[in-house]
Amino acid sequence: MRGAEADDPHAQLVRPFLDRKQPLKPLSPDSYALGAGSAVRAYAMTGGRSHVSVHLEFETMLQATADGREALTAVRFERADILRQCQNDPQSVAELSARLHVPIGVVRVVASDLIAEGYLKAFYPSANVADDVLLITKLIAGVRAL
Amino acid sequence: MPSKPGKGPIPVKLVVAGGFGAGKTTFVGAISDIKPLTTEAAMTSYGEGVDNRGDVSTKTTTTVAMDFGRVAVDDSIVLYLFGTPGQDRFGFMWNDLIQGALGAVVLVDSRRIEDSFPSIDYFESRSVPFVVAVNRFGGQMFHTVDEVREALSISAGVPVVTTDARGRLAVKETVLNLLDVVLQRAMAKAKTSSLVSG
Repeated sequence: MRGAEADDPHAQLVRPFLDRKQPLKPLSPDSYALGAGSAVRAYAMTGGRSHVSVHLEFETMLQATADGREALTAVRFERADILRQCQNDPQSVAELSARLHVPIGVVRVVASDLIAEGYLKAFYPSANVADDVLLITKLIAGVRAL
Repeated sequence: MPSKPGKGPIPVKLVVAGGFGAGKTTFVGAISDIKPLTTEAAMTSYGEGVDNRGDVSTKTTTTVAMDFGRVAVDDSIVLYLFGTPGQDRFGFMWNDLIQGALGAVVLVDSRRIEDSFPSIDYFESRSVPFVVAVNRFGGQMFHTVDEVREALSISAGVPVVTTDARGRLAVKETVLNLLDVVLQRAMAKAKTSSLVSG
């Protein structure tokens, strides 16, 4: 490594596809082991896993818990991006994917870890939505009033 | 949208399908609270047509871009509308997207009716409630609703309506047409199961 990059030890932590102006903060001991930051492939973002502990639909909404907001300074990359993106209002998996420019599959894997760790709270779709007469009736009334 | 403790949003998903250029993104945008966002998802597809080599199944994974919008319907329900491409030489396996979807709107460009065939086949074969909405594109209709129904051999239980993907009111009406089908089906099912258990 030469030149400007050598002067800034964190410069390489900004992946070119991320629309980020500032380099990432230095590593903290609690950070997620995802390599040196040059890893841009989906399998690297997810630590090589493609299976999830919690199934998340495209529309499942996520919101950072108090623990999750506290952990913001301690986590990195997609973990931090996801927590930051939904630290106030709940956001769906699809919205996180679109806003962070990360494939849906990656959001699913990383977010399901964050849920398991208590950093994210999930709002799942109604299990049998097609049979839920009450919910459908409410939905119709709501759409009519739009 | 602030969420009260113990009571969070309930996300509900609808799918807007149709051929390329049928107006899916416009349709979603007409009713969405946010400018439609684009996401990418890997979809498993099975090669068809030119790739078909007898009974050899050529399973591949393709990345599909989807535009979607979000509507805060009331203080709890958040409606997501996913526009998804349905015209392709691949028969996309949409199961991942359709999982949990309340229903679908198949948008038809009346100049290219045949583009909506794959979507209609898909929803019909999986018993997903859907309506067929012919996009007027601001007044122009190249075929009547009856002609479209006949051309696509759409069963009597499926509404065929006209819409204008650019108009919020027309889009709202089309979504209500779909929700009506969904409600009828849910009520019929509730009635059947209460007869069985009672």
